[in-house]
Amino acid sequence: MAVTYTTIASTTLTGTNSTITLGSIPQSYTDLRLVFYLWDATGGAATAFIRPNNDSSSVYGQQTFSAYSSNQKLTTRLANNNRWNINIRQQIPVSLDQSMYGWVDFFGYAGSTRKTVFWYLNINNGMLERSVGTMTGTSAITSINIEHNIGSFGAGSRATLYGILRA
Amino acid sequence: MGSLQLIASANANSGDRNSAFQFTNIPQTYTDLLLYLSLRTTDGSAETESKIFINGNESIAYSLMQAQGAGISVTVAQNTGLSHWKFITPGAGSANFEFSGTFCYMPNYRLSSVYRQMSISSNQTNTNSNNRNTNEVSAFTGQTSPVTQLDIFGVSGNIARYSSVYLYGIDSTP
Repeated sequence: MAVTYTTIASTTLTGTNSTITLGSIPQSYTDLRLVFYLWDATGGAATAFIRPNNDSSSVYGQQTFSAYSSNQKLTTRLANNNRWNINIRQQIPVSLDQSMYGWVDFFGYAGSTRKTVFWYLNINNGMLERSVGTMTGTSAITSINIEHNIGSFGAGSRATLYGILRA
Repeated sequence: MGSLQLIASANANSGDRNSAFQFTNIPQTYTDLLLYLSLRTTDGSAETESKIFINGNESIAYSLMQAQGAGISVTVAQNTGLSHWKFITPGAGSANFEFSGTFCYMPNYRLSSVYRQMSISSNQTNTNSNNRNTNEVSAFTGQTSPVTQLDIFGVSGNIARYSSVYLYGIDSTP
């Protein structure tokens, strides 16, 4: 029986770090899923963001729905950005025990077409966001960076990359 | 062997079920848990709710942030001090073919250094545009005990015939 959901790589921080890199991604899967579990060791208005292939050019777009603060909702559109912002409305939690978590699905990551992603984000009972992202770059994705915009993620933060293979 | 492993499944194929779908003795060898559910309850409403709680405990405080879609409207609500987590489910008042398509993701379910959290996404076909048909939930409880049991049941009403649930373990080890 073919194995359809495989762990490619997993990193759990043993200390603080501003970046988690998942590199040397095999090109043999159909799609990818990146599961993240992150907390902020720095404080302040922290945002986590994603860059495939460490590409910082203005090729990213996203549309995010946010539900927060007991009854608030918001949609945000970002175009021609230099990254995908994982969290829009609320900063990253500052303790491991209440880490924000979610996952990013990369569809057709190994192809030479524009990339589409979809991700879920949850921050305990205070916020949820659902986003769709596009990337006008057409290169196959061979690495993924998860980065902190102003500081570092805390020890115990985790990023795991799974390969999904179609039948 | 892949990273996604079926731990157990349950169904109500033989008839309506007046007891919870219950997964006990969940192995403590995975990183995360994933539940897939197709649910309907016997509550007479067209749209109702199902509940999920951990370790057989409805006495601890559960809380959640949820966004719900009904027709062209979206409502957001935060609930605290609940006895369980919850999500939308068709009831007996809906058309016979309507079941929810629900998945629940629980990261780090066995780590005692973090609180228990769950992401719930529940959707259902619903021919009444005034009823909720999309439900996104970010669920939280200030408990750190490893999850060894999960219970799923109707908030009101029993589990309807042909409902089913699958529990998977996800191993993050490459």
